[in-house]
Amino acid sequence: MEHHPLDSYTRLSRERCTMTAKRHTTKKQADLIAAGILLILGIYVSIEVSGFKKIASLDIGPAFFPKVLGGLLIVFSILLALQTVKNNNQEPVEFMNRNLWIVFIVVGIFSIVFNLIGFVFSSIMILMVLMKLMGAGTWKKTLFVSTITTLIIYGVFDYFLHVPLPWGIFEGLF
Amino acid sequence: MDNLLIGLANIMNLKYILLIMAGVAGGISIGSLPGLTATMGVALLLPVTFGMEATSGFLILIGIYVGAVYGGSVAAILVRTPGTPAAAATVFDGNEFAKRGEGGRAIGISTTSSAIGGIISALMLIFVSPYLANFALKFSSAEYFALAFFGLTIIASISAKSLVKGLAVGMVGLLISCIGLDPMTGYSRFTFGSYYLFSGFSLIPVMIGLFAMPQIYNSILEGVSEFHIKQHVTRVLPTKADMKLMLPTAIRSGFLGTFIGSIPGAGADIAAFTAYNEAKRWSKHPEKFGTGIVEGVAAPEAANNGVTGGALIPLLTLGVPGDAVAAILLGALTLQGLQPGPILFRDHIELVYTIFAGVLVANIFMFIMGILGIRLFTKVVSVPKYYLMPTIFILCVVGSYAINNSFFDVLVMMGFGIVGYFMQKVDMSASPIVLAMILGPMAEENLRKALVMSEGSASIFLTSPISLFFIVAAVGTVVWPMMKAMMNRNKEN
Repeated sequence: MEHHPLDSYTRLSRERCTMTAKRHTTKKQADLIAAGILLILGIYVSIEVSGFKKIASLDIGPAFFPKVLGGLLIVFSILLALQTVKNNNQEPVEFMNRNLWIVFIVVGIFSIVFNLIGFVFSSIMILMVLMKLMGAGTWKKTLFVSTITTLIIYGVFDYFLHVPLPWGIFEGLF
Repeated sequence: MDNLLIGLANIMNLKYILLIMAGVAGGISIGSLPGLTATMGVALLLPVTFGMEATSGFLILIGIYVGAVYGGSVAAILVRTPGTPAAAATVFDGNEFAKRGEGGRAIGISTTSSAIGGIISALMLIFVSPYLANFALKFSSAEYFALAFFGLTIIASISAKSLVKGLAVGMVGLLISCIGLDPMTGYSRFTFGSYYLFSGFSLIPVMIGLFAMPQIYNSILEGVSEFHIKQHVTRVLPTKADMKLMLPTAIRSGFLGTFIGSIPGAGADIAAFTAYNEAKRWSKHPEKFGTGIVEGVAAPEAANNGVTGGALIPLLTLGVPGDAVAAILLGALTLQGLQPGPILFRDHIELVYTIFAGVLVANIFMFIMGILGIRLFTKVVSVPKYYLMPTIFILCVVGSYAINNSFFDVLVMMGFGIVGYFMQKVDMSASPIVLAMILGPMAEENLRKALVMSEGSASIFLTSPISLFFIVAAVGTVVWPMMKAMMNRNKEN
């Protein structure tokens, strides 16, 4: 239900699409990958469920529901693959670009350091990177905006909503 | 009626009024910003309501919902970009007004129609819900299973472009709902021995991840664009002539929107497009649609706000959310220890009617703010996205963290954010996952309870007329489109 309302309107995106169209995955390939992942998931569930212990007094135990679902998932993923092959949609899909790779890596770093250096510093770091990647002004300006944003969010959650955010190794310093 | 008066009296409390106003104003701002949807706004601000008591928390979220669905039209009209998917149909005619320099007039029509649609849906909610809840009191396990089954099939079949994709995604959602200790036997399923997974994934981080994060990744991928509004918006209160033109369409579309909203899984975007097409079909001059006519703005706007009250009907009476936003609202109620459904009507009738009154009041505020404050909200459209999107990322993190003060939930949110991003790329809607996570436990528990009661005989689902009805309807929603496709193919040959 959540379409992205912007794609057809952003001039920028259209230019990039034509620029890199040659390397693109097609919708057919993308859907086949999706079907493959779903199929693997369905098979995994079916195997895992078959190892569930039987509970003697119950006909319909904890294994029943996931077993049915896993089986149906296998069926639907195969149907999806068949449908995809038949439709043979060659439209290009852009999954990743350089900036998005950087963001995924930075988000990964953020997840690792969050507990170590705490909310405030990790938030300032990731805000700056994201803002710069999206085309905000100078480093100085982004540092300023990131810090203010972080402190406002910290203040609202800590003081008004009583959600203490972690400080990591800086605990007790502030 | 007495209950409604109590509800109205409850709402006439400065604190509630201010909360609803804040919610509506925040909602309109969120809706006005292209890229921020109503679903995302409600999911992001849900954590803010944790510390509040149930009524306050719910009312502010209702305000955001109502405001955001309306707010989407501002950007749709002025910059030809829908602020929310719900306003996508408003672009067709709305922007034509703006091109003629009549942006203010179009916003006036949109504001009034949205209010009409919203108020119709609120009244329907108030008058239909008690009967439905009363009826649902008779439901036992078999009926609840059949209802959940029906809800799931309808969600899978309408929310995605392809039926198979919708069904597959729905299965994944149901499987996610199995993670954790089995509620009936305590058997641990798919937990990998991890203590964090014993109660499964929390709904809120999953929702924030699926609905908010993909937008951020998309703006990284595509770059952000700036919107500048050159037009000076002046008079917004519609003229008598415009009122006369839009009233019949707005009223009809408001009812249509309420109806579509009450169907599980069908949300404001579907309602807006349906209403636009219906208005065109009913019109004496269908060829004028798309050239900037009053009905072309009134129909989608009345319908998308009609959804707001409509989606609450099955949520409050049956515990089945009508759309993705209602699913988040269900999460909000559950966090407060309240279980939506007929029991809520029995045990917390005052809260229920206060919510009803709140929906009504939120729509009135939406109208007043739309008419008086629109110049302010048009400025929101030009807020730089390169500051906004990163801030939303941090709000996603903090919001997920706040639920259990646990970083595990943040990781869940981020994981589902990446899953949601790739799902969007392959045209898979995330709504079935979220709705399946809610309906899954309901389906499984009642299926097993019913089978224990019937000593293992599946006939229990077919002997109860209500359950039989839901099961037939469910099978119909999946089989019918397939049959139609096959018949069309035969015709072609």
